[in-house]
Amino acid sequence: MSKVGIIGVGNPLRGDDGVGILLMEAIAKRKPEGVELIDGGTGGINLIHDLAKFDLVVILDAVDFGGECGETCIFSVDDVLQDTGEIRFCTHETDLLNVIKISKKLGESPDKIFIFGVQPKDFSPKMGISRELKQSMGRILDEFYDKIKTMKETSNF
Amino acid sequence: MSEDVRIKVEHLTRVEGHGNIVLNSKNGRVEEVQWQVSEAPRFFEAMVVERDYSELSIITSRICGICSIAHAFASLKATESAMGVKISDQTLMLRKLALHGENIQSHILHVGYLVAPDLFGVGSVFPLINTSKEAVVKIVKVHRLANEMCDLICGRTTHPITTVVGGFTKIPTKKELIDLKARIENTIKTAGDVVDIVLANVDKLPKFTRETEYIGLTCDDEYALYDGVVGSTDTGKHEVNEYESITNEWVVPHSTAKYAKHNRESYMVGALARFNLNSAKLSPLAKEVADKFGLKTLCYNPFMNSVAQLVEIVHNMEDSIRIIDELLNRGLEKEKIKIGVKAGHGIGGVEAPRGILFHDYTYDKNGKCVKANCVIPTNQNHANIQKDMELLAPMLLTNEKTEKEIELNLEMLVRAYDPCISCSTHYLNVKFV
Repeated sequence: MSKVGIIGVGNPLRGDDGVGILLMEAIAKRKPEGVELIDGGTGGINLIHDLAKFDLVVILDAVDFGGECGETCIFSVDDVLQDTGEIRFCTHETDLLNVIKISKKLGESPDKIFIFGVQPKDFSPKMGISRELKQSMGRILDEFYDKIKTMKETSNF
Repeated sequence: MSEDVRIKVEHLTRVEGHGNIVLNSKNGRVEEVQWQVSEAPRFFEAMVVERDYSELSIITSRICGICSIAHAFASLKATESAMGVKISDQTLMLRKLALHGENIQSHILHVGYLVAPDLFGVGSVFPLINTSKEAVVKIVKVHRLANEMCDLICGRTTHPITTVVGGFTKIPTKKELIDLKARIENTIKTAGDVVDIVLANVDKLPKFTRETEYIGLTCDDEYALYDGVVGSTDTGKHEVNEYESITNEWVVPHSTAKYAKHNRESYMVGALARFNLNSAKLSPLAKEVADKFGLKTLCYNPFMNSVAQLVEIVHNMEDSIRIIDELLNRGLEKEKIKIGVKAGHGIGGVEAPRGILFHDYTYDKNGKCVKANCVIPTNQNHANIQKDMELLAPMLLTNEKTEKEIELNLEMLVRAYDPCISCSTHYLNVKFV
């Protein structure tokens, strides 16, 4: 049986950046069976060890894809991963896509990685997400389950 | 080189936090060379005032995302000293085991991900995966083991949650410790492979020496990491309670982090300082690693700090096996923790991966913190980095190096110290006239 993980990432001290963690906590209350949930925090290089545990991973994160605040999207890493050449590497500045890139190159990344993104509005330093996102959390959660269901039905999972 | 040099590395990469390197020279003479720390202060010492004693280790462990266990233990030791709390032998052994885990975790991150690219002549770990995938796989394996050790003992990979004043809220089971021991035994060979990979490229480390003072914990019966007195290669042994007369913190205009000095104008802490003070207490395999590199006390080359870290990784693994055996022989016991809250003042000193770390707390009779002071390893190294740079820069200028090579050498010097810049920035208490 394939191992499935859901990893929430983000910084709850940077406003809407924390939406991935909040979403993960909400999913924990209606956790799909056989799925492991991980609070990935602000990510960083340590995420490669979490990724290596699974065959399939869904990462929950704030993603600026030019949508309306609270709009959601789900995509595969291959849809966006670009080879940008030289990448700056610091212990505090390793972004998610770079971590996935390392994991893939090491040959230990899950077969499938999807990112469920929520369009944020405000990344300013504060605790808690914006009012708009807070009001949309119920719908965002429904969309998460719908999109996962659709992907399962279309055998993308 | 005779041309004028203007180097400004704004936000040096492959270190933790933000620092700049400035070098200006004219007609081959250095006009200005500076190691600047530009990171914002973080106010932790003010943050813990009026907080309950039980919260301090949780809050202060957040000073660092890499050496959070060392911060938690320095904090717990300070609180336990203030309140007269004695910990059990089992707690002591588990704390030492966790500290070994963190040391491996931090050192392999530094040597493997941050320094190795310099040795292989590439810009970061990313191209390294293309050219030396096998090496990176081994580095990741050691890193993963260290994460698992910290996870098992502390309940989380970073920012421990099971470690509290007086003991642990949860301890590993016998089976978990047996499994961990097997994984460590399995990974020691991999660590040896990493040693050989670095050894094959060690000629890339500059042969630069500057005599300085080395400071770290030291004790008679082991390679001191958790306990001991403060040792100096210049002045011998001092009590941890005298830490302020050792660190002598002061401020400079170009740095948000404080500087420190003791017997000379600067001193160094960290793996190389510990090696210089305590190498005779290393485990047998770790001594073999030191011999492979020709690392001997007293080594005055700061670039060898990365090699001393590799030596320590092997020591940490070997000593962890010894501790696990001892824990298993004794049998694990769930212990009750009872704290008699009282007013007091306590100081805790431990060796964090980057060097000696002090936490100093004063509590009122209700166990609320009224004053806190933390002296961070990287703070204590900033002045030494600056002094090294002042000697190294003119050497590089006269050695026909290109501007790019000079820049790389200065970057490598800072990186050798494995600075944790965010941790080291401090609240500056100023009064205007």
